[in-house]
Amino acid sequence: MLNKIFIPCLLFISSWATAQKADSFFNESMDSGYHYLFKFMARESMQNFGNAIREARRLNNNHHYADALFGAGQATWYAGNFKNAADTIELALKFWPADDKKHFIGAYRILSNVYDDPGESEKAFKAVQLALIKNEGSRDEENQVLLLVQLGKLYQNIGDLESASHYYQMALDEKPVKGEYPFRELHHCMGELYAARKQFDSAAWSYRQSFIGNPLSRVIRIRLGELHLMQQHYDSAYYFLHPVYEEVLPVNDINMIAATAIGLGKIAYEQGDLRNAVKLATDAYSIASQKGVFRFYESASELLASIYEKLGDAGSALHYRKLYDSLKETASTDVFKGQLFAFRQRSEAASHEADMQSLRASKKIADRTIIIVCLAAVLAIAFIVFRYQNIRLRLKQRASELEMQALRAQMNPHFIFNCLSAINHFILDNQNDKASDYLTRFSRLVRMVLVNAGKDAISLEEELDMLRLYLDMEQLRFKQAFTYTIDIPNGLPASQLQVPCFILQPFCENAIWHGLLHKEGEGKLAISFKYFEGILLVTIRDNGIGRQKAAALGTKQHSSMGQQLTASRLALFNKNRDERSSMEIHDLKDANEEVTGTEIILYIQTPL
Amino acid sequence: MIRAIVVDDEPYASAALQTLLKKHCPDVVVETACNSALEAERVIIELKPQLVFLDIEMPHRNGFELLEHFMPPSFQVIFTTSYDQYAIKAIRFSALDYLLKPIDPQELKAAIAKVSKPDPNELLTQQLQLLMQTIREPAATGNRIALPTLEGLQMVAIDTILYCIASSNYTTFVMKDKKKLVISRTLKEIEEMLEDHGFLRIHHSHLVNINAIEKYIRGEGGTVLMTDGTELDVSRSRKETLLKTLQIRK
Repeated sequence: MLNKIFIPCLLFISSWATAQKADSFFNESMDSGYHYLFKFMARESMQNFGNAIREARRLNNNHHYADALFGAGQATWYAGNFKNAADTIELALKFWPADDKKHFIGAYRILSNVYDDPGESEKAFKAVQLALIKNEGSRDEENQVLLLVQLGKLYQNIGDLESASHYYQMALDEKPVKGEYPFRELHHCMGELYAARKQFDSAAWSYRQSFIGNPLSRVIRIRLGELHLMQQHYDSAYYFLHPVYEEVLPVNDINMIAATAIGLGKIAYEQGDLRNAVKLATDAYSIASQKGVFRFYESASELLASIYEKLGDAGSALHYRKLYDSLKETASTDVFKGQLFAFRQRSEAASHEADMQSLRASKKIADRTIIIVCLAAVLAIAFIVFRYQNIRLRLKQRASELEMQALRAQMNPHFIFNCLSAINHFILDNQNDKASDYLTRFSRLVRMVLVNAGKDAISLEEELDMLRLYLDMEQLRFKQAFTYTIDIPNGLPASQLQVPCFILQPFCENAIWHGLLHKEGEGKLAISFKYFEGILLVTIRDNGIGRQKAAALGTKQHSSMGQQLTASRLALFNKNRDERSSMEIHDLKDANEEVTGTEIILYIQTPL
Repeated sequence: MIRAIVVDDEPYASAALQTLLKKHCPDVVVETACNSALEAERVIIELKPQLVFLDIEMPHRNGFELLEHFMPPSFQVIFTTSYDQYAIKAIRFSALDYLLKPIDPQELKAAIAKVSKPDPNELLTQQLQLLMQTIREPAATGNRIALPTLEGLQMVAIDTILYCIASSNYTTFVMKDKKKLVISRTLKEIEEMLEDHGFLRIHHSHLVNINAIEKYIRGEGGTVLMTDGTELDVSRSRKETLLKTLQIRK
């Protein structure tokens, strides 16, 4: 796209022949620079652009020099070195003649991209706005589409999906040519927007649109893979991501390696292949931390935290979890900064307009205008400060509300229908009493879940009622393959203590599915409680096959995901009152160090 | 007589199915029940059943993974599942049979009636291959779908379908090559299968391939002109969705 921009320049050169030769070496270097760049071979590309830079300097040709710098900046960007890339492109901008609009606009757009990658949204916004202003008047449509898309993308990154959608729509109105780069880029971004809004079908449709003209696009295949991941279609996600991973490894395209490694790591994690998951996540993590690619850094550390949690390596899990939390914090500050900047831009434009009008009105009131403008500015600043605080508070509140909603207790549909199936068996088999007994218990359980589903917390008494009903039904499903005991010390005020709704069930479900059902002989599940100084201590102990064997068997994943969600729900519940760690998992071992089961301890902060 | 086995990890679900079979389908003799894919693999090799009732969700290895060991299959398959929307969709796509648990005797009888020829044929292999492909790569381009016609099954590439028209319990498919196929499924069922593949219900009795719309003609609900020159009515209630979809496409 950018390699057709060379204008032969014959200034400063005395001999035409030498000019030919000198220019041809420069052009050659530039051509091969871009050739390698498009193949994502950043190092080779860099060498060629380096040659071009030296050549341009020798020829003392500013235009060439700027072209070469711009190329080098892009190569540096592809190599993942964002700071240097931005500096180099800024430098190039200084050497182009001022009337060379096309170059300016293209370079500012790339620059905006470069700034956006490590999360510098303010600079990214500025660059794209400068380019848009330059493109006003005799404007270039292709550039206009790309600039609008870039602006939309920046808004999307700061979470303002409305504005993003608005700018994409504007880009659509420019009617980009189907199958060409601006068209593909636009649909790619729209796909991401739909994905962010969880409109999966529309997202997939947009992504498929951007295949037109470039059916093998790696980025789009990655996006489709990520889309399937969001929908928990792990096989399909793998189908998209794995080939890309294999393709980009040899060419060392770090962005794509990191993106695919994280995706594949998540899949491996969900499918219980923890060894592979650790390997992939660690690769992505080291790439991200070396190159400072913010979003990969964040998602890689989150993934590693989850994996180590599942592996039972509490130390490493905590390390990555903390890292993830702090990155998230920084990210949200970046988002706030971006939002603040976008807001300031709008109010500046407004006060600029007011300023112009009052000047036009009369010169006599110029003094007054200054006062008014000063006042307006003071007000605007006060307003911004106030709003910033406000937005911050509101967003924080909303985030935790949403989190609660997402984590709220749910009943596994498999469980529901399998219970009904078992009850059906008793009816068909004319065991009327048994059928009626289990049907009644099942209805009670469903009723309790329905009644309590909207609540944050219920009394321990109710929680235990639900748990007993649940365990009775599981016993029924598996023909008494296990027994359970619930041990409550005398004097525990179960009706007075508040616990998160349905907090114990997922841990029990996990113990049954991963531990007890694989065991030869009778399974035992023991649940016991202790209460002191506002902390309820719950111990859930099974004599199942243990975590390592369960992982080796590759048992079902959905329940352990339920367990993880529940753990975060518990952490959230505890955080409301006090920041403390809230869960421990141990292997139980006999004298010969043989694993004899698993123990989970929950700490629930619940004052009387 | 049909020699069958039941594969299900939940003992009572398996028992319920066997009771239902005894009661409603005396032709079917259940030779044994397995509670894991591992056991089933052994039993299938040993007993060579004609029909396998296969639960999809099981620990260790699921029903699909078991099937992969027996391609091409030497037996007919009826899937059983309690809840797995994703798998159900894939199964319907291949026009294979599945039963939802708890099992409805009427559905069970209908499924058994279809297993009239207990010998699996070339077609079943194709259907199962299509199923495996759909499970593995649901978004693959050039997707094909198996359609139960009056004569048998027809494999069709989705992008060659222009539109579908409801006629009570049947649906007429109009194809790119102007051929028409009458399918023994309701338009509602077809819609559920194709809505993720660029098809839109624009009317009580019309389901259209969005890519085959030539243009939209204004009116109360309006009509769409299809690439084969047919004009189809759009109902008032679907107009807005259609326009939105077309706009995004542009």
